[in-house]
Amino acid sequence: MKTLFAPNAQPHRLVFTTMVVAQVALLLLIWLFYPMQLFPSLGEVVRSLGDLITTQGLIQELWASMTTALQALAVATLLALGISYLTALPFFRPIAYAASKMRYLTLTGLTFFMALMMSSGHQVKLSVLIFGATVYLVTGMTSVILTTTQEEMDHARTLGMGEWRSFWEVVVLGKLDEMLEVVRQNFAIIWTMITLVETLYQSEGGIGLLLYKQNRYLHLDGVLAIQLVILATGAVQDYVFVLLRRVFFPYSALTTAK
Amino acid sequence: MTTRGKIVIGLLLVAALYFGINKLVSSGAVFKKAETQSVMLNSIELPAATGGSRATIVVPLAPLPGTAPADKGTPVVWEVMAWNSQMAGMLANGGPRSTMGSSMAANGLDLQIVRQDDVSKMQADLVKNALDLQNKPAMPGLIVSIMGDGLPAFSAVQTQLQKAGTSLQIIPYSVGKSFGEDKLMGPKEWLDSPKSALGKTIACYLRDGDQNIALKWCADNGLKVNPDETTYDPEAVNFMAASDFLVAAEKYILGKPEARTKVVNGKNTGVIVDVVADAVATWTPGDVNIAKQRGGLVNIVSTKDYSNQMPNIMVTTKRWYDAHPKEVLGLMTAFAVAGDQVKSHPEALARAADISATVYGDQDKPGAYWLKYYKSVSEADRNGDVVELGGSKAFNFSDNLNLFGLDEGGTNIYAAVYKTFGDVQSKLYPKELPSYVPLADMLDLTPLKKLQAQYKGKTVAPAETQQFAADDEIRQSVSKRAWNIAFNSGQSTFTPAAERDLNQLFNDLVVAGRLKVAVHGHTDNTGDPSRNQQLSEDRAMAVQHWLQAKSRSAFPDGRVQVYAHGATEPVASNATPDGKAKNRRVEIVLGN
Repeated sequence: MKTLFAPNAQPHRLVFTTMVVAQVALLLLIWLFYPMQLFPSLGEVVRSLGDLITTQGLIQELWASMTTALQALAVATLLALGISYLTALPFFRPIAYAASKMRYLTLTGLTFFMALMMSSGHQVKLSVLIFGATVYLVTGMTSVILTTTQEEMDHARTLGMGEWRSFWEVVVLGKLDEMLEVVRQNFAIIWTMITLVETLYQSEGGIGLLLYKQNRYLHLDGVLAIQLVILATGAVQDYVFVLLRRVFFPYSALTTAK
Repeated sequence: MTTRGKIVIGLLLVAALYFGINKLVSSGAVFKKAETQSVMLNSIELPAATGGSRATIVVPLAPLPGTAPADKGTPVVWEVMAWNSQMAGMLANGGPRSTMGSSMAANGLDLQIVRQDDVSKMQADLVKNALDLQNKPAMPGLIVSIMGDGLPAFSAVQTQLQKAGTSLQIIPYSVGKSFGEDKLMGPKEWLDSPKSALGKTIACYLRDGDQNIALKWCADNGLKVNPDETTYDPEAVNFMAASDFLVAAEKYILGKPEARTKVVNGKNTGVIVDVVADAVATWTPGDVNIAKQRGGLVNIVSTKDYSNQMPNIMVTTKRWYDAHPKEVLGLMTAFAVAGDQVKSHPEALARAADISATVYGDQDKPGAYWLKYYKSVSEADRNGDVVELGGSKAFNFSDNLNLFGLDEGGTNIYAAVYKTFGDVQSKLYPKELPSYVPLADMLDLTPLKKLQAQYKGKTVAPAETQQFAADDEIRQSVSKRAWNIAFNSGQSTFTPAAERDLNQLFNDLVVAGRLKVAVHGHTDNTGDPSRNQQLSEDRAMAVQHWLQAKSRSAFPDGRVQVYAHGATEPVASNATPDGKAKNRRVEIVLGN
């Protein structure tokens, strides 16, 4: 018990898990027994979740959104990696600079131009997501590259590597684990934008559209149920990314404080 | 294990997972979305009125309101969309806040008009206002204006309001209505052959007034509609959802395809097809954008035809309404005074348009813009075709008596509109709108009756009523549909089942107030031709008499015409009892 309130303590796994379960249970109990005036009760949310799953195809819609999100993420990651690694060459630095500054653009109105350039609604959806994710990824990735120290570069040069080879070993391979971390952190951007793009092109459905419809009719219990599903999905995703990092970069956590 | 090994195994895992989940999700092993059948809506009838004014009494021009805020009176907030039906309200207020010399200030109110185009924001604001009033009764009350036919869907806010300890309440007075600006625009051939709309797609803001026009047109022409915006039914009219009415127009202007699964008879075929927007239901300036940027669509039907569909209805919370009876009457009086001014004096209307421009706040749309589209204009589109754009009407006091059925022998037109569209939306979207609030729970006509009693014996500017020339045939039909109204065999009297159909027909016709109605009687081939000719005439006449007896105000002389065809136009073979039953029918054609 004491370890739970001591600085830098490492409580037993069992103790820690019990504590988390208790915290969650407490939250649910508060929700169950102290309903707020306009906030849906736990029972309502659970009922509505059941209805959404059994009759409104929540699972299918979630999968549809998930595949769209993953497609967008894959393309955005490759794009962003390309743009950031190219900053090694001075010629390409302005591009990365511009890309990272595009984070500040709002998408309103831009979707119209994207629609003009693309041939179908699905492509517009994807391109909006890719654009949104790429600018954030580039920002994160370029800052990772900037953490390369003189020492690391000199180390590679001393080993007799040329400039290209040093760059490859130190920056490209050496920073991959941190790049994965950047991707993990920015995957959330895609989820926040998915509702927006799914309401632009509603023919393909998706969990964002389901949320929009629930909200239009003020089915607040449904809204909350879908939000919780998205939250859970996000948590699972984050866990998968941690797993990937452990499998592919088993040594990347060596320097982390225990 | 080497890195390469890990990557290979990882890729294999990802592929297995992806295809596994995909298979599982599409196999139907997990719960599927309930299948949606395309629906044949019963005909949607609306009341109709207005047109040639019998204005013999002209209200003298009152001094126009000033521009300086009056800064006194009970504070109230009025949220509105940028909608021209509000001209009378604008003049009544003199500006975004009630000004000196405005009829609003004269009636003891300090009204602030705020633009709000987002309906769900309006709903949230009403709930917030209900909570605020609970804690501080002196807070300014909130009134929001929405389309009359959209109120059933809007009433979904009732659950939240009840949690806040109150409910929705209608202000029993309407400042005006849409009269042409809301419309279904489609390819020209839809006019001559509505059936060509089957398997086509209409872009619109779903579950709203614009879609209602399209739904009514489909119902009046006996076309099935597919309520699911994620599937495509080649045997029904499909809808493409847009996030607002301007985006709906954009869908057509851009013409980009969207992928959907094809359904036949409500069964998912698994085939993916690309659909584009073939037509658009929208309102001004959506129609203006279509005409200017792409063209190629004409007005199929609009609120000029369905002239009672879209009155501007104001709702507030019962909490505020019950606590402020004096203010409610003041508000109605202020609107009534301004309504007469806007209707009879161009100067007053121009002023109202300038106030609108200030309130709506679009820098590129001065008063002249709102004025032009209030009156409605015919402009050439990009391809040189002429389209009619815009069109609204302001109401005066008598128009309101008409709308709420307080004139002599009147029909509560709004009640017919509300029920008609409430039923349609809830039939199409049972998941989203399982039920809607009955009108009687929200509408209390006492204040309007009170004002009516006050004005008794005084000269009040008359309401606009539609004049129909009795010998004038329908030149352009808007819709045609067969009704199998059951008559007692060989007679022209109705069976009890027919009464239900007739009531439905009545409501449908009340909404389409400005259209003439042609009743065509048909029989099967039993008996001799001359007797059948007579019988079909008697039956069509029976329908005409039934309608006129139910409401003289909705069916003035000359609106309903009767045609008899005997057995000369069968729609099915007379060899079977089934076919015979199909041939014993009354066809209703609406048009102008």
